[in-house]
Amino acid sequence: MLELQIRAGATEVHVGLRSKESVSFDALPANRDGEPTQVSPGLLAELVTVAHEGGLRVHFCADTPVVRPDDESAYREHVARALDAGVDTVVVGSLPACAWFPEVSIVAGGELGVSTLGFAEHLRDVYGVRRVVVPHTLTLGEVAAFCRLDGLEIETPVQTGAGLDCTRCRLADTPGIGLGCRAGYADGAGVDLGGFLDGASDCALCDVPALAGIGVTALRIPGRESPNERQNAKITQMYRRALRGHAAGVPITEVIEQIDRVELMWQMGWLPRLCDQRRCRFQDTPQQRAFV
Amino acid sequence: MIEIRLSTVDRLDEALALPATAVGLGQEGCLTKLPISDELRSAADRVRRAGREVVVVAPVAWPRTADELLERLLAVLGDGPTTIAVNDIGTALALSGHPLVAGLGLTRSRPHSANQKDGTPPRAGIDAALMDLLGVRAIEVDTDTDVTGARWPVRQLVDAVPVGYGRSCPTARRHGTGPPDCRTLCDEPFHLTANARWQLNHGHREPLPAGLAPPRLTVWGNAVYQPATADPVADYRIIDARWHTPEALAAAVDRHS
Repeated sequence: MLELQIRAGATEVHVGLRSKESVSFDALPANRDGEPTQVSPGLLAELVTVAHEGGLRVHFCADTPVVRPDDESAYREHVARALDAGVDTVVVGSLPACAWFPEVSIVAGGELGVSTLGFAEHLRDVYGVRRVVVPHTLTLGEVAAFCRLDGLEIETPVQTGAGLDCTRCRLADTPGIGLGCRAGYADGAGVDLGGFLDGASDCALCDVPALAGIGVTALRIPGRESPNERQNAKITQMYRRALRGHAAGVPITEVIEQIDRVELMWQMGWLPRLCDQRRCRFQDTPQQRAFV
Repeated sequence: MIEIRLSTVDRLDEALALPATAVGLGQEGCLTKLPISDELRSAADRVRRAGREVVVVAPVAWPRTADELLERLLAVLGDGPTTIAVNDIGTALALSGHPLVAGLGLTRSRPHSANQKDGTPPRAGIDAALMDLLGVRAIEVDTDTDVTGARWPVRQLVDAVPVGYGRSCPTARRHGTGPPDCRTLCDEPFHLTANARWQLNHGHREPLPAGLAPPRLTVWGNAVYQPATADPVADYRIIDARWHTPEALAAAVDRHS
């Protein structure tokens, strides 16, 4: 998976490590719908070596949204193992954990729910955080406001998201329905409502020039839980093409036309599942107009 | 102790006529639904004059709503004794030093399972270190959250368990609109029954597993709830008036007192 991502044009990767405790120490369960999301310590060291050889930065996901008091020392040891393996940053999801690794470059992960500018400034000023991952449910203007904060890199999720507030969601815990934000529902009369709770903001490819223009540092594409590593790398490749096109002054419409000519996945998957359904993250859609 | 929670001020007379110790104004999800400043201050004043604790529930703040939210909250705080139930860390930090309760939106967090075969998450608990950092006076939880050994007074919602909040509001989408025009559309609940599951490794909606009792959800605005299945254990109980007719609300207050 890492080699595919390197070839696809990734410049940074996120990794997670298996926990020795009963709880995961990052934002994913060890197993998401049958797919492992974390690696062994041995593989982590190998991944870090390969990533660094490829010039990639390695972010270590320790972004569990809560560290229970009984788990704190195990959490610290968990992070120490990753630091020993040579990771470049530690992504945290709990505010107290921002203070636990003063010598380390800390990334405020999406699980922290940094939904206000004041919170981002607090993380920078009090904890020395230099990068914030903003929630996936922001408008482009809101992302731009984060980008205007001095001394902070802004990382924004660009691919997948159901419009719900992930930091407070327990819908994924409901047995039998998988990710409840995407599940199907019927009303009281039994009328099928489809994905009623799905706020659909899965793609930001058309907005790559705008994101680059406002100064976003990193575009995040989920991958650790991906069931299809080739498809996942293809997504990275699409965004890389859009970034290269923007740097070369090629309009995004032309970049997408080029993708359309050579990528079967575009017509078979992207267009019907994302474009036709207006699953656009930063465009004016009914989903975004319903933002509270 | 009983808190009657009102998402709007429409039932304030009814709430004040009942023997509750506190009245909560607002909800966790949406600034548009929170009463406007004058309404909120006037309602809070009436609650104080009735000798009850005023709790204002601050909805989760987003970049475009944070300033307005803070303005409304500070106005109420300036009028007299007020407890703010904060539902995001940014608002909590901005109100540092004021009487704060960690709201249901701040006590949602729970770790995931490290089991390679079984992804069932551990029971939700309280992020003690976070509560210490924020200096909250009490915590609000649902009846699913483990409060064993909690070092803070616990306020427990008895009516339902919130399981999600939409930034993209499903009720507004259903009506093809959005804030501020949707303000009155969430005065009625919308009931859902799951009829398809969605697994990451399949990527589409598919039939529910055989034998599964389809989960039932209730949507109020942008908040999604499951039925409460456990009995409350805390002395301080929050009764959300939206779930009750006037007669049922009076009975619930009586039952939990």
